[in-house]
Amino acid sequence: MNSLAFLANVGGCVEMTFCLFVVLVAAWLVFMGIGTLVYGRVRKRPRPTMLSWRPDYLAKPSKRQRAWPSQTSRLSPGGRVTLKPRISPVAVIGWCFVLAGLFAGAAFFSLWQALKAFRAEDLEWVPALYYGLGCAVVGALLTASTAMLVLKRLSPWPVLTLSTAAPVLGEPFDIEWLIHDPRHSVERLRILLVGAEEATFSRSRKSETESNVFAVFLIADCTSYAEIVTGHAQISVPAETMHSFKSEHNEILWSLLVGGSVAQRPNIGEEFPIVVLPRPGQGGSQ
Amino acid sequence: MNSLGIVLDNDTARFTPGEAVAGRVTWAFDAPPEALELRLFWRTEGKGDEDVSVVETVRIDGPGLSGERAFEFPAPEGPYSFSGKLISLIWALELLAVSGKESARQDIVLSSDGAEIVLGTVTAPEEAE
Repeated sequence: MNSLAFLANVGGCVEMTFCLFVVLVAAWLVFMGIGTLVYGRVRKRPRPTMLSWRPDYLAKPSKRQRAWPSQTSRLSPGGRVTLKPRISPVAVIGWCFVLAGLFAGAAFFSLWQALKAFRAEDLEWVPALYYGLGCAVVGALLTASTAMLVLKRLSPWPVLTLSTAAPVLGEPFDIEWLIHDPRHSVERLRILLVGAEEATFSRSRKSETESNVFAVFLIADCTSYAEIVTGHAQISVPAETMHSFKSEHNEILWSLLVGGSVAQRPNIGEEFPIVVLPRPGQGGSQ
Repeated sequence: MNSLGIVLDNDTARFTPGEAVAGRVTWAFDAPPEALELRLFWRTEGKGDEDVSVVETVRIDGPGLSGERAFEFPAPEGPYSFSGKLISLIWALELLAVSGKESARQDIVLSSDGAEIVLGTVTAPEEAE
């Protein structure tokens, strides 16, 4: 508090809160900038060579999809692929916590100065209140984000292992699941294979996207804890349906959805996009 | 009067990947065009903005006033022909006169069994309980 008191004496309380506010906003912008750069680098990582032979028309993960082998899993020999949800690193949570604390402190300090100025019938309580409320809103958002990240990190999360990185229409493949649940809090687990078409169209100057789910296959629906924690199943995408496809405005997406009911915590809800390939040509010329 | 035509050996116009897409093209013009192009391509139709991709092109230079030429492409591995609620994907052969307006088109179907895939609608998993 000595340094704060010194600065307050030099520049005045309102100037001090203003400077603090500017510094905190600058820190927030730097944090977001670094985060964007790091996230951009993660997204630009090359895909594993096992998947890179795919023709252009085969679907690639879209922005809304949350997990993809190139970012969240390891390809092992034999084409097996492990899919994991993206979980925020501890460092990100730590930074959110520190920034939330700084903004909360700035809000408290500014509001305290505003109260003091108000009691002294000094009009400087108005800008101080303004700065204080601004910091309080940002601090509250950061605190809520930190709490959500922590809760997400402590909640159960699934890991899926597929026997092949890119299943072929009509050919069976194995899927194994493992739920990390140290508190034994998952009460029900469902795993679905979902096929959807997604069309993007221009309306005025905006681009809109519409989806239609055309296939849902139930892979697992477990209520026994032993079956929830780990299990396996063999499935195949029917030969008479459509494989993954992506063009500039139109897409066929296949995803594995893992949903779980969790007691007293956020439910599990993860989406793992997969690439489904067409059957190899029968004419011998490919 | 100018005319262009595409005749497939396979009358059903249904193909499986790797199968030969074969036939012949015919043309007759009042004035000879610079060249003709036969294109194998797919396009999308439906709610989304149209996407087009040309997969194979055969150019016939100096075709003269009239004539015919046999062609053969291996049917690509994909994407399959399909018809969904939002999107349809259609394969076609197109013969057109370079620097002219005349063209002829023949739709074909490509899939693992030669039949167009029809995609319906099911209840989204979030809604199914």
